[in-house]
Amino acid sequence: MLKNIFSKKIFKVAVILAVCGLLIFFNPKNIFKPLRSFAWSMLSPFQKIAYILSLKIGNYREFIFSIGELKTENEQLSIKNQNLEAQNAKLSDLQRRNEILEKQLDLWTGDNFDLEYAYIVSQDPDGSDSWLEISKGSNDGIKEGMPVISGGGTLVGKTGEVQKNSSQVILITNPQSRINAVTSKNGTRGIIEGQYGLGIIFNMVLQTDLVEVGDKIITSGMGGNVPRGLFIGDVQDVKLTPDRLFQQAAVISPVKFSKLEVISVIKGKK
Amino acid sequence: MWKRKLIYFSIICVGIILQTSIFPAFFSSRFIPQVMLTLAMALTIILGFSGALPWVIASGFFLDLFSYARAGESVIVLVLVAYLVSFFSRRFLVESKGWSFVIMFLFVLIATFFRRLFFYSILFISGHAEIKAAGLIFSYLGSEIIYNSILFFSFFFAVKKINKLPFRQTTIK
Repeated sequence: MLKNIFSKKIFKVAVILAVCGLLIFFNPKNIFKPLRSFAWSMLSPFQKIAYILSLKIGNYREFIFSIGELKTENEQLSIKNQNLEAQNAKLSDLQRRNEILEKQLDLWTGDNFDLEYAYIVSQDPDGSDSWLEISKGSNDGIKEGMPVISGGGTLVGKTGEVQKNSSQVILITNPQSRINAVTSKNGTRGIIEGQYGLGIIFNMVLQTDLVEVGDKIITSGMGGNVPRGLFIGDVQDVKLTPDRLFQQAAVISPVKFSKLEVISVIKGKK
Repeated sequence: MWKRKLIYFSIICVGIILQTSIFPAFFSSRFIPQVMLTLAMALTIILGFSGALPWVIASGFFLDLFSYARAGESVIVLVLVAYLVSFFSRRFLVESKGWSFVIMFLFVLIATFFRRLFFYSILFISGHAEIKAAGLIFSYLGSEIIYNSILFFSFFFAVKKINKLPFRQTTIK
C-alpha cells in the first residue's frame, strides 16, 4: 500500500514542490555558490562567444527590418544633431570654466574613475531587462554595489552578486534598484526606481519641486558608491503618485540594455 | 546508456546557453522563447514522466543557477508543467493520433501562459512588480507561443531520434 503511494507521480511532485518551496524560502545562496562558479567556468567561454555572435546577428536583422525607416530617422537625427552642436558649443565653454573651479576646489571630477571594462556574457532570460552578467569578478577587484556605466558615462546599474570571475549587474530597470538622482537643470531631487518590464521612474519628487518633460536626470552622488553626474535619462512624462503626495516622472534611458556588449565598472577614484 | 545521458546533459547545457546568452541578445522585444520549458515538455512526452523527471529537475536547477534566481523557482514550474503534460498526454495523445500535433501545440500554448502567470504572480506577491504590470502577462504572448512551438517540435524530434539510437549496453563482468 505504502509502496504504491510512494511510487505515485503525484507523491513525487509533492516532494519536489516541498523541497523547492523550502529552498526558495530559505534561499541558501552560499551553498550553491561554488557549484555555480564551477558550472559558470565550464560554460562561460561558450556563453561569451554565443552572446557576441547573436548580438551581431540580431543587430544585422534589426538593420534589415529598419531600412524603410532610415530616411525619416536620418532627418530627425540631423535636426537633433544641429541642436546638439549648438548645445555642445555652450557646454565646452562651461566645461572649461568648470575645470578651473574644480582645480581650485580640489573636487572629484568624473574623468578620474578607476574603470574595469568587462564583456557581457548573459542576460535576464525573461526579457525584462533586470540584470546582466559580466566576465569580471572579485579577482579583478569588483565588489558588490559598484556603479556600472556604458559609453561616455551613462549609468547602467550596480553590481550585485559577485563571483571570482563573474558578476551580476542589477540594471536600473530592476524593481530592486534604488538610486538617488537629481535633474541637471533645477537640481530637483528624487529616487530612480526600476519598474518590472515598464522602464524607469524618477520617484518621490516633492510637489513643490520643478520637474519637466525633457529634463536630464543625473545621479546625485548621495548615498552608496554612485558618484555624482552620471547620466541616467530624459524625463518623458510627469504625473502625481497615486496617493497624490509626490510627483513621479517616467524616464527614458538612452541605453538599450539588451544590446550592450561591453560595460565599465567604476571601482573608485584614481 | 551513459552515452544517451551524456547527450541529454549536452542538450541541457546548449539550452542554458540559448536561454541566457543567445536569445536575450537576439530578441530585442519583450519576450524570449523558453528553451528549458519546451525541452522539459519534449522530454516528458518522449521519455514519460518518471524517465524525464531527473532531466527536468536538472534543467530547472541549472536555469536557476545561471539566471541568478532562487534555487527551485524554475524547478517548480518545469516539474508542474511536466506533470500536467504527462497527465494529459496519456489521455489525449495516445487516443488521437491524427490530432497529436494540434494537442501538442495546445500544450505549448497552455504551458507558456502558465509559466508567465507563475512568474508574474511571484513578482506581485514579493512586491517586485505593481499590479499595472499585469498586462505584461499577455504582452507578445502570441509571438512567444509561436517561437516556443518551433523550439518544442525541434526538441521533440531531436529527443525522439536520440531515444531511438541503438546505444550498446555496457555491462561489467
